Amino acid sequence: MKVKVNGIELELAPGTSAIDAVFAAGSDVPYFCSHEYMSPVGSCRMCLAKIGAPRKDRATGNWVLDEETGEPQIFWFPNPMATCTTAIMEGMVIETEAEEAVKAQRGMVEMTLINHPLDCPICDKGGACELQDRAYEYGEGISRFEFDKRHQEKHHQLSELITLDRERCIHCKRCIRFFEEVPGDEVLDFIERGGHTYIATVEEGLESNFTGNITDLCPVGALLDRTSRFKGRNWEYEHTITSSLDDASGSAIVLDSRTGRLERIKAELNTQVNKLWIDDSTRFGYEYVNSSERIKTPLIRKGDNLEAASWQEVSEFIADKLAKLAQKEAAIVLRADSTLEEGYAAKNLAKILETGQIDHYPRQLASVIPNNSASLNDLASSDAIFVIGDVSQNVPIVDLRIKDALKGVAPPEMFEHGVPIADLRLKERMIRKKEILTVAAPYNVDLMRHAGQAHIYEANSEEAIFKALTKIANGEDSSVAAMSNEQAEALVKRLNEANNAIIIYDGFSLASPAAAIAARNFANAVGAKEIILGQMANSYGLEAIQVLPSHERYGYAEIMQGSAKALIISELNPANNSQYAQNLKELELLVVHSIFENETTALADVVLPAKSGYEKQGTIVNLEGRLLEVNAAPIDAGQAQDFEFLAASIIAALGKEGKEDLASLAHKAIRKQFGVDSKKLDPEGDLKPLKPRANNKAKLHIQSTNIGNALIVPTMLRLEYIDKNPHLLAERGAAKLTMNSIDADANGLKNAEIVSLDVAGIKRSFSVQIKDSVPAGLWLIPALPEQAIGLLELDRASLKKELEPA
Amino acid sequence: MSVLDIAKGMGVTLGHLFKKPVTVLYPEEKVDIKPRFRGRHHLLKHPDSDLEKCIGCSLCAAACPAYAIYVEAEENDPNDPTSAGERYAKIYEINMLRCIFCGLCEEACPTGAIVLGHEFELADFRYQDFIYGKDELMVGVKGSKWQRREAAKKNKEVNIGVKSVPRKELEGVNYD
Amino acid sequence: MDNITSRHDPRFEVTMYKYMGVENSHKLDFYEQHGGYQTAKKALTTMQSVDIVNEVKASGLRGRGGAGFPMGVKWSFMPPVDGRQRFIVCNADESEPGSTKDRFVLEDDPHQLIEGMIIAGYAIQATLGVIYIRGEYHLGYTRLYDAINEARAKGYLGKNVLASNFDFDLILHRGAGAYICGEESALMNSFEGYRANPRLKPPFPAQAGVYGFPTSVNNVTSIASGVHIIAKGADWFKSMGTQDSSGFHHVQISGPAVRRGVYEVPMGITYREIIFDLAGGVTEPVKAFIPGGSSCPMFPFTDEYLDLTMEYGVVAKAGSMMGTGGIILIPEDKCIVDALANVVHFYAHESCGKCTPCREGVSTWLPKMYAKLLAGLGESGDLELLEDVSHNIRGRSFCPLADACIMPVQASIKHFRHEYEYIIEHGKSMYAKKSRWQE
Repeated sequence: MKVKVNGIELELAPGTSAIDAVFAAGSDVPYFCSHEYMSPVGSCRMCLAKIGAPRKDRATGNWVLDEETGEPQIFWFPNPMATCTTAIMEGMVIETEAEEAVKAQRGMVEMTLINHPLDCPICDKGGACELQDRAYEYGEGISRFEFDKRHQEKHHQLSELITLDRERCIHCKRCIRFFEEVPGDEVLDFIERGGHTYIATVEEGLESNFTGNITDLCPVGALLDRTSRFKGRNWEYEHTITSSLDDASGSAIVLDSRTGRLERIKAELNTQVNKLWIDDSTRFGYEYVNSSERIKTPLIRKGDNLEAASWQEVSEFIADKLAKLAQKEAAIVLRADSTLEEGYAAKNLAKILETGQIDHYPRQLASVIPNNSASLNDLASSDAIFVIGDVSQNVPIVDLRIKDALKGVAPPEMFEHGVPIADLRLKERMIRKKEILTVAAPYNVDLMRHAGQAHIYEANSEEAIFKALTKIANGEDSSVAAMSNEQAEALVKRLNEANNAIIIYDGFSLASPAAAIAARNFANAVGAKEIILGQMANSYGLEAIQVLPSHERYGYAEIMQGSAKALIISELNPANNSQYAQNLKELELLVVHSIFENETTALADVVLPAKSGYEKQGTIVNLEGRLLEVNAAPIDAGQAQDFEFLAASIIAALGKEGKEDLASLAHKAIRKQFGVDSKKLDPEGDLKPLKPRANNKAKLHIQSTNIGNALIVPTMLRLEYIDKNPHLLAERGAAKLTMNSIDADANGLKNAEIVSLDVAGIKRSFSVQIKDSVPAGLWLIPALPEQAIGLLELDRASLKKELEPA
Repeated sequence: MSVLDIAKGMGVTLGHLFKKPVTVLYPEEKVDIKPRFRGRHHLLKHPDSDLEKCIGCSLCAAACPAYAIYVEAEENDPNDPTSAGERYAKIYEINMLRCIFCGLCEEACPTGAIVLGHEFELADFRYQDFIYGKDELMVGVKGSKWQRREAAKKNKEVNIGVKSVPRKELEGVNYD
Repeated sequence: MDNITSRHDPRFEVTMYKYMGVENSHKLDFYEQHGGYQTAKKALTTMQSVDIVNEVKASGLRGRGGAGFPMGVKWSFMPPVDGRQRFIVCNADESEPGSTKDRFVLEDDPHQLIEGMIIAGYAIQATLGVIYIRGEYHLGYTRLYDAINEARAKGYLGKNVLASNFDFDLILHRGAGAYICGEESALMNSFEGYRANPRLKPPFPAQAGVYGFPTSVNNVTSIASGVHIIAKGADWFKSMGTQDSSGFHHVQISGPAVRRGVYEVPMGITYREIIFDLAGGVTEPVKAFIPGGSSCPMFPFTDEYLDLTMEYGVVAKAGSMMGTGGIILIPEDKCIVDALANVVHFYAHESCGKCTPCREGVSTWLPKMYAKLLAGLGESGDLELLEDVSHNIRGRSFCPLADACIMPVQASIKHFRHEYEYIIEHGKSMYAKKSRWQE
């Protein structure tokens, strides 16, 4: 369609909003309520422009022509129009600089400001505030409003994480719309009306996993992040764009750091992965990196104590010890959110040490690399989705992208100015196509609220379910646990008939190789693509580059049970398991690469300070098979180093340095394996999905249990760091032990009671949460990195009450 | 040139012999500084209260062309506020070696908290002593770090070489 | 207010208001005795739904809620029947100051509305009707509630209405006292249980209305007129009124008139006839009249305006609107600034707060400016500021509520500028008399 913006002719697709036409023409209009990926509502009335269009004669169907010029006559709308809610028409003329448009914009800035306090110097948004910028660009500079401004609550704590200043609110409704439109959790709304309107939550508070996004959305300083309150002004921060290592989505984030401290995390646009949204764990779970308890220098054991030493010193000590070992006696374990570069470094070190005892953890029995992988944008435009497991806790971004699909609006086409500012296909309170989503899980998961069909099955019956569904898909009779025959048939039929069917499964299915194979077979049978949710940020990548044991007997569990004489372990704390702690004591050499002191560092011969995920430079592969860049923010972490440096120093101390350093080896290896240059990755990542290895040696020796009375469940939060994230801890509370009220009564437990429990060797403390949606007899325990998802047999006699609830 | 012209010239010279000299015998005498002189900064407080004017907004640091100012803010305790706003400067430091005394920080300050005063005797011995923190800048503190060190050593009042009347922006400052 | 209607006027045969004020007129027995539900029976058994839409279209009936959009055309915007639920909504949230025409139908002749809803529902093939009634109309609510139950018991509502194949039932929903709910999309939000904010159009209700389903929202007297159009034919309806505005309308006169009340009149009648003949003239000198409820710009009480005929086009051309037909007379000694302060206060209170010009302009700034003027603190430049702010608000807001406030303000400045100037200059009103509600 042809439109003319301020004299510039453009050819745009029908359905484009006038505001996008304006930006596409390189012009500008101010706006506050419109926002990328959300419905345009036209409530701020800032984006006014003079708009006109030619008209067709009803009788003849020809353009009504101007008598003088012979051109189609432009009929102007009587009033300036809000460009965000106006769709372009053939021949439309948009004037943003016409006198009446400019006057309307100025008038609107003045009215927006009459109740907005002028406390920019103490506002955390100051310097990055849309209202501030727009008032400078489009305002008159003075106000004719001579009365008192509205007085409302200035410190309303919406949650431990977010504070609301009601005086600053300009009622753009972005936050309210966000909750309804994006995660579908309607937890905010306006109260009162007219000039008294203010924002408040439902009684339960902000019950959503994505609350932090409203602090990014807010065009003024009304909604602010409490973790970063008054930590610095916007122009003082160093902004580092990177990928989050919080979960397997690899969401794009911006690290705002100042004077060596990480002060804030904001979401960054990645149209392919997280769009503009991140979950609360990704956003608020960073405070631990500033903790004063961090290990900042290498430590070496002198008798009972660990004493500070230099990297040089400890590397020589380690090399000395390692040189005395025979082949296959050393072991290396990485945490599953280590970068590809660290993974290659570990592999190279293992090669030099001539050992096959190398692994990453948490890792499950089956592969996380799908056979026929779907991207997250495929997911967002899918027309049939079958989820088995707990997506919302595992990878919250996948949960959001499923909700995109329910709206039935495919990801928008990009403009030169980026994501459409007003996508007219999006509406408030859209009718969601719930019927395309089926969710099954061993307990009630959050996504079930949005599903057309929800099924709670008995834990560990994933294999049976997939096998039965496959039979139905192949035209055989079968019955599926927790589903009626009609439901199962309808599900199979829908997946079969869909153009873009997707099956999503997580650790519950990966815990048993048979279940994973059954899932894969079912996906094949109905022609669906797969998304597999790994437990950690680089589970996919580390499996892809085979940071895996050479034999079944050399896996993580076997190493912990004494298969090695020396162990180099990065960022894991196996000694929290009393049984493993015994074995670790027997080791000739225990090198622990860690951020904090813990049970394992207490046993170590050498402790090396580790970098957090915000300080590393490297590459990860997210659950789609997308290679993403991880960039380091300038954070003061003492002498902390990543595993690549650690491996390099040991290799140097061993005197086994090759011609090339580890970094260039990794660079070459990535190019060979994935076919991309890891130094020139696309800012949105390069999608290079691999095929799983046909014969994966990386099986764990221990077989999955088929019986159990407790389920290790995925959790959005990084429980290993939660104690050092004070704001997140205050909001989310300690780790929860969730059970049915029948179990609670049988054990005399009350809600919020603090208990301790031996979870397969790990003594953990929990706050009891009673939920009748959990099947009776099954206790839910949130996962630690040392404890992969799945069923286990719990010694319930080890339960001890620590504290009565207040 | 006539004799008369010479006599006129000599007359001027002679006339000055009997005028009061403009030279100030600094440091024996104190200097009366012009009001708009830009010397060392003062951090001011609201009159008749102990509340600091500074709200820790960092605009001075942003305006500073020499990057001489560093501010770290913190939220006020509502029951025992330090400043009149929601937050205050936990750390406020000016590096006097970097400072070019241009006064842009004063221009940028939205609350009139940082004002350049008349003290100019800032010489000292070590780099670190040129970093003036809140303790040194707060109104009521007289003299440079060195002057106060000397005074403490000799158990005397701090003696500064300025005796001028501060301009009205320097609320609460006096150089007597 | 004396409830006198024009059925006492021999010059014009009254149809809709025929039985207003008659004892027991709200009962089903009474309604049936006077030919009730026969029109619905005729429509459902002998006519196709498209015939009804065409008949209403042909009658030229324009919506009586204020905007004056032809009802038949609105009905024809409904998408083809596709198995989805469809709704007919009756907007009985009559909250416009000066308007009371719906109230009498709801209180004295609810069955007439129910019959109208059945016909309208059949016309657009909606099997569910919603009557959104103003919360303050308690008597209207109880009578309508009882009437719906009576009708349902008699088989006029429910499955196979009047022994036809058409199923129709009614939902009666009470508002909670918000003027904005008279705006059709805010009404639908409120009905769905959401905050009463107007929705973005498009989509119009015909595409996505109540719960996203095709919906048509019509005023009480529009729907009730449908009964008479079907009963007596479009030609009969067209025989009244003019080419532009056919049929009859209800005018409601308030202010210093001899016989204040609601009058059913044919369109095209002059305001002079209404005020002087029907209402019997004025009881005290009048300086202005508002032709269609508080949101319409006022006219000075002069021959030029009194001789205007009551037609949509004519009134619009003269600079105002037909609105709901609520004529308000403003006495000579009433300070116009004070009167407008009251109007502004009403709209400030009723603004929903969704869009900036209405929330900040109408709801915050204007009342403060009027309070300043009335307090005698006006300064030179204030009138120009008021005009400029009004200009910045008008036509910029999301829904017409802000315009509804601004248009009377602008009209008052246009016609009575001297009163504003006087109050600014002297610090007090031209008229010493206090407001009636302050006495």
